Amino acid sequence: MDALLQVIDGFSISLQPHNLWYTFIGVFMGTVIGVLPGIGPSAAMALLIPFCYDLSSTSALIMMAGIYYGAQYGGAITSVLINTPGESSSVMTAIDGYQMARKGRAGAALAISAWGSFIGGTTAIIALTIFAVPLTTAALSFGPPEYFMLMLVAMTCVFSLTGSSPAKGMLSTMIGLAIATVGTDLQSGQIRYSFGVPALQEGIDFIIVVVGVFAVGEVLSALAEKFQSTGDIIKLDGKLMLTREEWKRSAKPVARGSLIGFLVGVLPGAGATIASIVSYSVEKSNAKHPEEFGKGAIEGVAGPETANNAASTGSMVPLLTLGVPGSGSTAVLLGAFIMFGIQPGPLLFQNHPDVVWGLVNSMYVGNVMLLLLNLPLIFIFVRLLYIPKGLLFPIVLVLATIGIFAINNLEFELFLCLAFGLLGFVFRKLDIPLAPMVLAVVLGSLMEQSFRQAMTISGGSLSIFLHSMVSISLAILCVTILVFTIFKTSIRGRRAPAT
Amino acid sequence: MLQDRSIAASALAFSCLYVYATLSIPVLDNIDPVGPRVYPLILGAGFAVSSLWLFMETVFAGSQQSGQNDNRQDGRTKSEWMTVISVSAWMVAYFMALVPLGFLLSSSLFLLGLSSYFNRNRFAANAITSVLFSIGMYALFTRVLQVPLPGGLLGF
Repeated sequence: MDALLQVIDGFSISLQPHNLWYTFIGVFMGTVIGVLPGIGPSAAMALLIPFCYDLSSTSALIMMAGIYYGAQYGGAITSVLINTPGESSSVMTAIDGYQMARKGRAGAALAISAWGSFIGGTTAIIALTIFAVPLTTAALSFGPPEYFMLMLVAMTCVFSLTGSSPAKGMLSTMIGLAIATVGTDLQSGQIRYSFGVPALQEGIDFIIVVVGVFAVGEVLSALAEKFQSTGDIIKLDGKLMLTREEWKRSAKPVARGSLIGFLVGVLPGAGATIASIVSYSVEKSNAKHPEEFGKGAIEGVAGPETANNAASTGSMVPLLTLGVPGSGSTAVLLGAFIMFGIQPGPLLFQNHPDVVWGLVNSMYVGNVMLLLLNLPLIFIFVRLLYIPKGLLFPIVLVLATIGIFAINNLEFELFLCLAFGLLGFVFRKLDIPLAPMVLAVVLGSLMEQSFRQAMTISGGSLSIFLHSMVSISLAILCVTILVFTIFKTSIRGRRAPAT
Repeated sequence: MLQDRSIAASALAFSCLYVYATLSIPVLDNIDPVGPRVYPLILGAGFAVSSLWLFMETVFAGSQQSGQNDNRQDGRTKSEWMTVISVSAWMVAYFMALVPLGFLLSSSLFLLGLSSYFNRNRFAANAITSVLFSIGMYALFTRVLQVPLPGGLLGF
């Protein structure tokens, strides 16, 4: 009953005029970011942090979450009109969406994208509302060993599922964890890896890493490639409406996409991109005319676009209930929570019900706003495709500079950010995934803290990590994921020379 | 293939350096049974494992990809690196000028320089955007959001 009252109270917070305004700014900027290829939601959220110093934690988190799920809507516009996904999660939309646009059905493709995103997003919020409280109740019994094992599972999932090589994913994770060890050790007071640089004694702020690898790194990659991916823009004319037949064909893919998206989104490491790929495969295998896929089948747009939105909301479940993000973007959100002195996890629902339910309920409102932005007002966003990238990318670099300088007014941190930008560029060139590293940077100190606390409780015995059923189950899960990943890569490696 | 093996070797070298730096952290007698070294040493082992795993991946994948990089690819990579190094150098100059010149002047010059190269033949549009964007951001941060930015030569 208390929980129900808190949910209802959350609406009174999310419907306050200033929070409605920040929801609007968030989803508007999310759509803009989604439309612009080269800048992802992680970079956008990180760049927005300096704008949030003056805001209440609830308003700031509402706005940042709006960018995150709003970007999933915007990504479809470029996929349909220029065959270039604005976000990686819109890759599958480009296959049939662009073909629909070439046949003069761009309006229908964008309309089903918006409706699918709305239905998928809203369904996932309802599921989040229903499952959040039972999950947090279960997680309340977690102590430091269980938390350590949980973070280990999350990181193993992320590096196993992200990118083409799990070994590179693990390397990326280790680099992130190593970055998190820089600075003063909170338990012993010893300074580690600062190499005599005073600015490093406090550790490396996660914003520097995120802005560096995502914003600066993405811009450097785009500038180096001289924006090669930009193609011809298909003109959007006519109404953004679906025929009765198109609605009928889309209904089941949207329903399946909502379910697939939410379930895949909850899993750490899987996320919106994998959800859209799974949804596309399911729709193709269920289709009466699979030969139409790739030539403009509306099911190929409806399913993946619904799934990627449902997944982005689904990935908020582990973040809010357990305090463990499953992707680079949700890791940035976790960093923002921590910056405001709020630790996501089971206690969040007890200590800050206003923040968490204000945030969750703002997503209902945000999805309605996104539907309005992406149907009658879509023509405004289409204009963004005409902004010269040679002007846009330097502006992103200035925004990154402001964001980093505003933290401590230190020039050193700007150079550090550039160094991470170069690292991000090199990682992209070498096909090393960035999300595991960012996740590890954000979770690293919590993970070490849990490890040290557990070891202090046990008097230095590692057996504490196998003392409860929860931690044993998590250990088994971790080993299973690792064995499966090694098996999968070795099979793929053996097959490769034959192909 | 060769590239992945180089990454594996670099990761192994880094793990050695990281462990060496970890062992130089002084350990004091206190109630903490683990101390500041143990967790980083586990990470050092993790680096070594990921390096070995990556090496094994290259062995499993065989050598079918070796020698595929043609001259055109090498030329493109070189050109990309030249662009990245040039942009980075321009950013270093911007960072160094930020405090002495101030945000307005340094940002306007930085934007003008980059956009003149990447958005060619539109000097007037680039110049207007560079100056107006810098003024807009300076006003937003210093006047509305109360976040200080360097005033520099212009002194406001």
